[in-house]
Amino acid sequence: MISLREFQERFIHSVQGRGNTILDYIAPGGKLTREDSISVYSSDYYARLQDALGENYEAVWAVVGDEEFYSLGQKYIRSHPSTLKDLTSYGNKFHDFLSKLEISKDYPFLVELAKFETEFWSVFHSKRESYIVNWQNYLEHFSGLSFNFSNNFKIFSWDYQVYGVFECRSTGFGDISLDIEKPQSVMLYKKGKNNIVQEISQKSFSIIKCLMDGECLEQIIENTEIEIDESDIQTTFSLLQQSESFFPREKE
Amino acid sequence: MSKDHKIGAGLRHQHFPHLIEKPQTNANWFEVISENFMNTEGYPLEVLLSMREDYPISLHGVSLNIAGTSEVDKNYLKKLKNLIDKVSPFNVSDHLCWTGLEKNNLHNLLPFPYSEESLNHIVSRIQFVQDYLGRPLILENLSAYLGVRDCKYSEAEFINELAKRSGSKILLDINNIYVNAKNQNFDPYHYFEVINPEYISEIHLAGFTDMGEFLFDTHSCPVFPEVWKLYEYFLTIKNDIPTLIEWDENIPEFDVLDSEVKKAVKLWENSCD
Ligand SMILES: [Fe+2]
Repeated sequence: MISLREFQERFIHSVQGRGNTILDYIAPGGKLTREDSISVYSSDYYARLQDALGENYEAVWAVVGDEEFYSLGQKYIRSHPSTLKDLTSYGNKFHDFLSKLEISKDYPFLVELAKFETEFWSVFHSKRESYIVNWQNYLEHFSGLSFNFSNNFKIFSWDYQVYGVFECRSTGFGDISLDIEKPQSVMLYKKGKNNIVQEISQKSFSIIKCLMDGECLEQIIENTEIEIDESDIQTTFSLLQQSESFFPREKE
Repeated sequence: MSKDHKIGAGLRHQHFPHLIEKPQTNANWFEVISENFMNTEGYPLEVLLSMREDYPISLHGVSLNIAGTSEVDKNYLKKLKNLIDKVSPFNVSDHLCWTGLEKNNLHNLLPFPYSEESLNHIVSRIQFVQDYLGRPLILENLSAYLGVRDCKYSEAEFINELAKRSGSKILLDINNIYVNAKNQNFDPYHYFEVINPEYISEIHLAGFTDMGEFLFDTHSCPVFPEVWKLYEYFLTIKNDIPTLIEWDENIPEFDVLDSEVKKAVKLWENSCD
């Protein structure tokens, strides 16, 4: 009998189609042949990882269709063996993988969509975090304040309606008239147990991005690259306050 | 129906919306797949902790890789311990199997040779895990679609020996015994004669799929009559072991699962007469 280690190495090679060197050591179950008994494990392996990708990238799946998604999944699985203990986050390099393929030219929003799905599920599995701030106390020096943001708070800005596509993931695109080639910005955060995705203007995106980089309102207003007015600031802060995902940094 | 039975049901996310309303159930306890809660602090964990207020919970893992030959994953153990601290489960189990090698996890419960080398290797890993977790580990007999040739031990002998040497406990999956008995052509009742009931801390019952050429352990349907019969027989040997109904694919409404629990309770009640 070979060592346990060698048995396992041969078993994996056989399951992943890299030489069926385990056959001499196994006794197939039922009426299966030895090859078939390995195929049971092999099919199970590819199906399990494909299912995980399907769950994590349902929107990409909806866009490219069953056949294409299956073929993409099988290629991804063959080039990205799982190093994880559970498959909840399997596919976190899927967007990189897609970016190198022709299909990302056919669907120029596909890579961003995959990235958004990764982030969406990571926020879903994160802990609740909400910051109730008594903003009255900060009004006096408001424009000089900088802020901290919850890890659950993310913003995105795309050249395409990526969130629009994401929303159609379970209903399909049949009845929906979606002008995909329209830029879109959103903020993603968690409120209670739910993920909230809120569409925001490009200007709000720019303001929030600066705030997340640690700038205060004064600096943002002085920054000549962003043209904003009073109402942009008001809308942005009112959206942020609803999210309960940020709070003023205490002065050192 | 008696209330003081030890029959439970597998808790799956499909039943969260129903169970979060805290309905009456036949199930007296619930088991969850540990990995489904080790990497989340979101809604799934909230539901589990809410269920824990009303029911004993057991943690059942699929990724410990106790028979694996890559290093024991300390990060995994740390997360498991963390979950144990949150949930205070009455049982912590996994499977007597390997799942893959470093950087290449097959995410399946895989068979291995029942040899002296495997026995020594697994005993030392179990001891490491038990020291780390500070509690006995419970390991489940797996279902397999192939056996390993020329093994020193039969499965039941190997499991007994492992428990004896390591202090681990046994989770006896009666459906898996039946599936293996059919696939590997042995008498399932003989298994009960070999296995030492003193080591058994939990029983599993589930459904399989007959693929024609072999039986496939799918957990996708009710428990088969043949498996109920085996359970009934086992109850004549020992009838105070927590028993679980598992259902993992084609998951039905909770009531269907709960009616399987009721069947097990009836058999247990009969065994008490
Ligand atoms: Fe089981």
